[in-house]
Amino acid sequence: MRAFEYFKALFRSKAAVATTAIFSIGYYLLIEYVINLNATNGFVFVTTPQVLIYLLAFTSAILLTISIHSIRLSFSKLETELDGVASVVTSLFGGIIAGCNCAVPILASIMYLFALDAATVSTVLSFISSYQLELFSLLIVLNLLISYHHLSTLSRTCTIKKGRLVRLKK
Amino acid sequence: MATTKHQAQSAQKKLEKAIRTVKIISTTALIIGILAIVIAAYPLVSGLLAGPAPNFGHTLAGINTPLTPAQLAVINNASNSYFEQAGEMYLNHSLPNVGGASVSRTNSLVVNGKPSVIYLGATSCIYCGENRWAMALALSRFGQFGTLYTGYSALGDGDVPTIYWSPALYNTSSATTFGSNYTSSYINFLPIEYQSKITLGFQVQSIPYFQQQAQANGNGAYINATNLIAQLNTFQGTPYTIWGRDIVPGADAIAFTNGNTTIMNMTHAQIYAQLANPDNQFSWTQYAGADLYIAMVCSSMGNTPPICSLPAIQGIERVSGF
Repeated sequence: MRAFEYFKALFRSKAAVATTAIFSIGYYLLIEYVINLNATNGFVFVTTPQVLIYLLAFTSAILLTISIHSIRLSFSKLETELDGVASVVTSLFGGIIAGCNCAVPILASIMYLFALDAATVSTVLSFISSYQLELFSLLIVLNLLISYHHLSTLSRTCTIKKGRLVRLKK
Repeated sequence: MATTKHQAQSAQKKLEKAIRTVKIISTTALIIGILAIVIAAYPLVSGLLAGPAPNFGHTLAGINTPLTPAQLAVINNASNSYFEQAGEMYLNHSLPNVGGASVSRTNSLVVNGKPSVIYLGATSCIYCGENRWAMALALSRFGQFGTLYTGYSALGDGDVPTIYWSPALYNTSSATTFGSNYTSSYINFLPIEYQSKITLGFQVQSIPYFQQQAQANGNGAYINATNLIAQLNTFQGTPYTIWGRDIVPGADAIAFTNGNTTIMNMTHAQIYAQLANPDNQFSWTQYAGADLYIAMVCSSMGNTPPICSLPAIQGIERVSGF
């Protein structure tokens, strides 16, 4: 469980814990904002359990924290940036999925913009309505898997010394 | 000496390769393991997240019961003065949750020489449940309902008290109902309702599914209606309605509260009482939502029905550009 050791070492830093807390709030607000964009005339009825929304915000925040803190530890900025983008994307999709209650106005607008038709939009809506909880859970698992992968690859560029992550010299 | 060094380097490379292979295998195994645990634990976790099973039968009291004559009269015989007053309230911006849907335009689907009102919804959908009240009020200005039925949105989607156009197949896993007991000399009403288990949450099928169902049903009006919805590329979800020339992708008014309680906590009797004597945000919003639909139909047919002469309806047509 090398990745877990790296995780522990990374989150020994108060800065990492603080940034995770701040990002968690940020991602939660982002998810709620996207849910509200789907609202009809200001009314929001969310069937996704609140605990899953918190979990998604938290796992996205962890992923972003790992990405940001590993910029100074990793030799591949591209990889860290991609992971940061992934954390934003999973939150955005989470908001869209949680906000899907009878309709997907934002997603539909995007799909029509890309010349997709009503048959495709309705198929997507049908799929999301059938598997809303599963899809939302999948985004959380995806965040965890990307975090795990990222922590595993850190072993290429850094090591643990006195319980803290230290960048290896090239 | 050189040979020994070469052998050592070769062994080192082999060792590194073996370590990499082991790492790849162990990472893959771990990922598969996590996924397996997630899949295995999912039914338990989702069961815990979903909370206790809904009290089926209690909150669905009277489901599919035809409305009594008194209840039906609340819809069919509503006073035009209520529509006028609600329309004026909408026009002077005292009702905040009316007119949010972005309306677009198409050609009316004309059947038997009359323009059509097309509705695509789902019995499980909370917004459809809330919106049917305003729809029924609007339709009652152009004709009469012979029967309506006591209904609810799905238990997992708000359990909103509503009316059904026709008896719901609330225990079926997937079906579609077409039609209602509505007559009008001005318009056709073509409701298409997706049916699923009411104990679950919101469910709907794709447009091609509804086209197939309409084909199987064999009624030309519904075949044309579903084909029109497929061609328009404005579908975003349910409820989806077309009022003559005007497409409304969603509910045109959201009346989820009367200021004191939400529609989820109201009984059917309370809703009939509020609509019979409108005096709060819920009832006026329902009438104003109906006014918007009425204005759309009026503009689609040259304002010939008597209801179109109400000043508020003409005002809405003017302001909304219908």
